[in-house]
Amino acid sequence: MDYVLRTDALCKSYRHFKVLNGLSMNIPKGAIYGFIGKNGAGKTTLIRLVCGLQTPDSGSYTLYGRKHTDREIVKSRRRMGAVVETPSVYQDMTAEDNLKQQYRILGLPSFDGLDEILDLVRLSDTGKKKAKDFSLGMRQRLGIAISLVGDPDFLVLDEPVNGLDPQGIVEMRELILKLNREKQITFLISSHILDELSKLATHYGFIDKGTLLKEFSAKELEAACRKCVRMEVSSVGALACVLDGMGVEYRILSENSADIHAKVNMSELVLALDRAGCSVISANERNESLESYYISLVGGGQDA
Amino acid sequence: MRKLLSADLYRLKRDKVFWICFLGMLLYTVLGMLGNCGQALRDTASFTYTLDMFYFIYNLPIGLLIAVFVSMFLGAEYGDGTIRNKLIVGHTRRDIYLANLVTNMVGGSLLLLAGLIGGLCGIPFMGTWKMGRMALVFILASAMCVAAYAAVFTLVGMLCSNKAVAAVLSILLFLGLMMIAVTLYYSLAEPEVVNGLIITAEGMQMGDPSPNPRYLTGLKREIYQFALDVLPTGQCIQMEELTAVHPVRMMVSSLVIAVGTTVCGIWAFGKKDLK
Repeated sequence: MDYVLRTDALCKSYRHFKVLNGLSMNIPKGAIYGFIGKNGAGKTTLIRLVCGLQTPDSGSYTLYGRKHTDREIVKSRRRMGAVVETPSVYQDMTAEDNLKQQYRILGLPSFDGLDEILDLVRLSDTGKKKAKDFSLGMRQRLGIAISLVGDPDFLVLDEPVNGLDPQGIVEMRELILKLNREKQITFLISSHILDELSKLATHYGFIDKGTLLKEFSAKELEAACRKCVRMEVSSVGALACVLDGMGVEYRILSENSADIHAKVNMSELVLALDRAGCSVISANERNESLESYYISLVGGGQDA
Repeated sequence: MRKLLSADLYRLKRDKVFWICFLGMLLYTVLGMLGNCGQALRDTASFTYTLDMFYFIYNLPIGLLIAVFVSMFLGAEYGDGTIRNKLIVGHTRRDIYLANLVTNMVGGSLLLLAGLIGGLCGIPFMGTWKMGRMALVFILASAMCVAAYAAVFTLVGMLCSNKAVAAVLSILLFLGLMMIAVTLYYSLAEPEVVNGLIITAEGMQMGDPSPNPRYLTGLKREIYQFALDVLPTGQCIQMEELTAVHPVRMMVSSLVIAVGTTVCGIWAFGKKDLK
């Protein structure tokens, strides 16, 4: 498999506080990699290292096969764009001027493609309005537009939907999916909004206390987050007997409730329970979400 | 680095703070020169004024104006976060630093040009320069001094990520250097002998000349003069007052300051963690 980014035992400390502690991760080409962790877990620090804003204390990373200590890493960096924390835009410039400035920084010979980028992020009608007068969503889109100059094939977005309204979140999601599908851009996205991330990501990495806890594809996660039917009954013992008889996998939660991890014929089950003298109080189909999976992984009770 | 320089110069062209400083310098020299011309016209009978005497007044505010515009110009890179865009796309820290330094030197030179142009308004009243080739030497020394100022304030601006803190630090640094230079200058300007005043019943009379205890001699005077020649603020005061006696030493000092601060700045910026 081709990897855009691979990190190997990355460590980074701020004074005496270890933010990254031997973090190893792999981002396959073409993936939308959802990077999940609570506040202070080390997400932004990893992104800063990958973007060259900071250097690791130990460990290494390779970007398009080039190690971070290699002088040629600058060539790999030219293939990437990033929006780290807040969008990096000149506040006293218009959207068009900001893009032109990025064209100059990259040394591109002409402003070809500028209108297409503005159209793509829906900022082509902003005219002489300066970035400081933009809404947060517009600034986020402008930040992405700037990172798209030079046709990168790897984009790093740190909390791209933070502070956006519902409409802005939908627009951002559509933009990311469009770029991934139409331009085959690989994404590394860190986010707190797990539900939103679950609509985008093809791969996930869970980070806690500077270490990657788990890394897998969306398909593997789907398998891990199995659907189930939660039943509330008058006697969980009778329910267990019936389910054993039907050869169905289940998990008892309390004296009156259990999760059934299989597709069962509800009519047959209810009739069988009735014969066993057990009444059904409720039955709900449940789907373990990315959020509940994350909580179970890191121990719960804290914000993601 | 050419790409970064092109982007930075474009931004300088649009930078409001820079143009305010440019206009400020122009106004300062025009008003200063016209004020001195007015005095010259009133005093024609007792004293002969020449353009040279007032032409170099731009030397006093130029350091302050460079401190202001450089700190705001570089502060915007940190404040808006755009310095990250340059690093992310693969520009080296050394190139980013040097491109900013050259841009600041260009900006400083334009401020110097504003000062030189503003001073020309005295020509209709006092004619042209009488100091001959020394005027050119002073202008060259001013240009070198501008480079030193730009290098020093670039160092502060590139190492301090907070725009407001960088601006305050740069201005305080300038004021501190100016205070040191003024102290050195007035210590060196003490007369060798003083005539005391004697008050008698018949009124005040001049006393016999006596050695001035504050007059600096020997090695101490050499050190004071050397320090005044080395400090950019000291150079500016001497040029403004037309008392510069070591223009070559001044230019070499400016060059050493510019190169020294740039080497230190690139090294420290290379180690700096950016957010």
